[in-house]
Amino acid sequence: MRGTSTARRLRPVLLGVTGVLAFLVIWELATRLGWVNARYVPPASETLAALGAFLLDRHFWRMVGDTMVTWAIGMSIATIAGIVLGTVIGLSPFLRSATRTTIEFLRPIPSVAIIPVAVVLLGPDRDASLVIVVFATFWQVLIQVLYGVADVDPVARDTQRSFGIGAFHRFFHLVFPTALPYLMTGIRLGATVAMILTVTGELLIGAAGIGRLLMERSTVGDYAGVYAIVVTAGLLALGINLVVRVVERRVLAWHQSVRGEVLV
Amino acid sequence: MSVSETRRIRLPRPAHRIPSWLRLPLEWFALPILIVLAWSLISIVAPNPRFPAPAMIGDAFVENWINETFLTDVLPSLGRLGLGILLAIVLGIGVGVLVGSIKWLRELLEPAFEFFRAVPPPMIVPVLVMVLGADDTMKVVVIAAGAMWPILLNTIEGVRAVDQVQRETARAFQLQRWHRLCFITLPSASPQIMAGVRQSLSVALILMVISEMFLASSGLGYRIEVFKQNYAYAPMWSIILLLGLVGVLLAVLFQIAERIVLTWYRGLKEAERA
Amino acid sequence: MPDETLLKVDHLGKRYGDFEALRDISFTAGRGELVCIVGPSGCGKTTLLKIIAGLLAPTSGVVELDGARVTAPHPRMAVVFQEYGRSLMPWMTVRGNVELPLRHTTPKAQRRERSQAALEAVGLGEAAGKYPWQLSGGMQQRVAIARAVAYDPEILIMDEPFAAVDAQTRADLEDLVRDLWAKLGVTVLFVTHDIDESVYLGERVVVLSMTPTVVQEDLVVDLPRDRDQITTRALPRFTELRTHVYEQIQRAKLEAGRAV
Repeated sequence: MRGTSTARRLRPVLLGVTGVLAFLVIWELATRLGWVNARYVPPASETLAALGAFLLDRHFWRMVGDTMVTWAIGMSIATIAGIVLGTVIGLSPFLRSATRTTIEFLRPIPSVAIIPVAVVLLGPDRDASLVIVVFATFWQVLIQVLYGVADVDPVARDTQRSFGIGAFHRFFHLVFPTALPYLMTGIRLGATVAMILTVTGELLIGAAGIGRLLMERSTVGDYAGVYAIVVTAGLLALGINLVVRVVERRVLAWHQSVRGEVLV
Repeated sequence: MSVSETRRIRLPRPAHRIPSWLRLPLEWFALPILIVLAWSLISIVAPNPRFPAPAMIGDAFVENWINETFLTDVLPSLGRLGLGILLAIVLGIGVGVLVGSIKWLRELLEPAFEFFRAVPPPMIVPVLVMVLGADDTMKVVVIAAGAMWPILLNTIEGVRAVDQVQRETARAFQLQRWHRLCFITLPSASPQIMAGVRQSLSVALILMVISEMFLASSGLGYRIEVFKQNYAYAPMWSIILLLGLVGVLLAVLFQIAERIVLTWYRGLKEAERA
Repeated sequence: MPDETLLKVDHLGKRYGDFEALRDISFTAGRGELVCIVGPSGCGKTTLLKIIAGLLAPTSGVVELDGARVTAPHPRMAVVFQEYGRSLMPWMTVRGNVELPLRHTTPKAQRRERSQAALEAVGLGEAAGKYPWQLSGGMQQRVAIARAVAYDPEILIMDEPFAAVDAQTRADLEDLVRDLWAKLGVTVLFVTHDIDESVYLGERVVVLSMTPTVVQEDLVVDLPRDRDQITTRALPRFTELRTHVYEQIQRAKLEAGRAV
């Protein structure tokens, strides 16, 4: 067998890092050799330098903070609303049926369409941004919670009912454990969507955050800065995704060990 | 437990007296109609120019969209959207199959791809505007560039996860490379790929609107800007209605496509569950 | 007399690093013979079969089909895998599955004929338009057999094909294999862990030892050519043979315990 097992586990990591580095190298060459117009696409080295400068800039960190705060508030509102409405609707077949068309029509509406109305109502800053963030993220959570609540094993439910277990306890010992994995999926999907819309709000509405910073840099012609912010946004999004996945795994691991409590 | 202590179980209530053919449509449309009525009522009782009555929105809708603007603005926008999505699908699947089939290539490129996918798509709009200028090509490229990542990454995963036994069967019967691709790899990965396509549709729609809002002289996004700047409330709401319809249209088209491509998958899953 | 040996397995060995799975396997299969390979669990039966089928490379020794070395899957060999559920493509109909390997061997006009004939030979002539997941396990394995038969191979290689099937269905499928073998005159290499099955089906039984595997015994089954589940299994000779094979396998397990 070639290589030790550690080497074999390391290989994908090494290759992956090489891939990223190769991309940076190609980027650098492309701009230096004139394959791409260097006026609009600054070399990788300049972009990284700009990024470095940003890391030392208080204004930059304030903008990052603004983005994260908007994201967090939007996520919280959307998640709570999604859980509450999802549970209430999901547990009632009548409500599920009655709301289906409304949900299927409202859900595909792109949040950006709401921007003019939000801005006109709430002014061009965070509040309007939050409206579009919450609107888009809410659906992700809602749909997943609906799936989760619908997935409750009817045999388990009927068994619990026939043993006289009240609705309240049923919720905690049957509905909640069943819906939890779905909820985590909804939160994971919602986290990504919330980030996208947060940035969109900053780009288009001018709310405080890295999106607005990008527009500022773009107006001034600081292209390296613009690209550096794009890289930042990507890293932020990756970071959020990573954290959410870790949380999801932790929560579901606990859930698995407790799963046996779902009485059948 | 003695007989006298047994709990009385309540039987489910008999079906409603509404005839069954009426029930379903009623349940489906009751809420929307209720909302529209309530909204109309409120706008009569407590009018607010920022929340125009549904009737006014309806008027604005017809006025703005059911005329030649449909041809000059809406159709071209939808055309760009369709083209962008098509491009995203072709690139995403094409590159995805290639990368997914070659292990070292996948390990090399997947992390970089995951990063590109993580970048919020709207952010690449100002960037591409800078690089490509503000014309139709740019808009299509923006849509494709943003929408292709979910498809690409899902295709890679789908191709990677082709069942080992199926792969061996293909080898044992000496299937040709082309046949292997068409009859084993792609169908096997199709549920994953379709999931990626579904995600890419919403991204594509957002990018279509944003790319036009940024620098355009026509198109839906441009119109949104115009309305916003003119504080034209009813038209603004009519945009929401219009884009909602476009979104629903995309969703329906997707469901039709999924039904065709994945009939076997649904059957398989149901058989497994039984 | 023309050379009667179709398949020759000569001192086959397979190592994985320090682990020697197969040490020295040698046997032959004559043209039109039905040879069963049986051995204790974990003796590398599937590994051996995959090497013979050209799916895996040996570390020593040779496999020859009709005098030519086998290093890759061979057009005159057809394989029936144990996991029929995963070997059939769920997105294609039964007919589609049977015709898939024919796409590069047979022109379109004849494909339909061949697939239909094969399906009828396994008793599934009516099921051509169904999907595999609409069929029971036994029927799915029949489809896999039909696929192999339609390929028109000289040698049919079957890797514990009935292990995952219930006993009654297994009996039917065993008879099906003997039927097809008699009708088509094809050579069959049948791997199983079921001793009774190996004696019931085979004209010869190759008994394997534990790892590192060698051929424990190469036994001729002198039961009548016409077999059926009830009478054949009631024959005293059947009981003798199966007991003998059983003892061989027990010996193999014991020796493995004693060996280094």
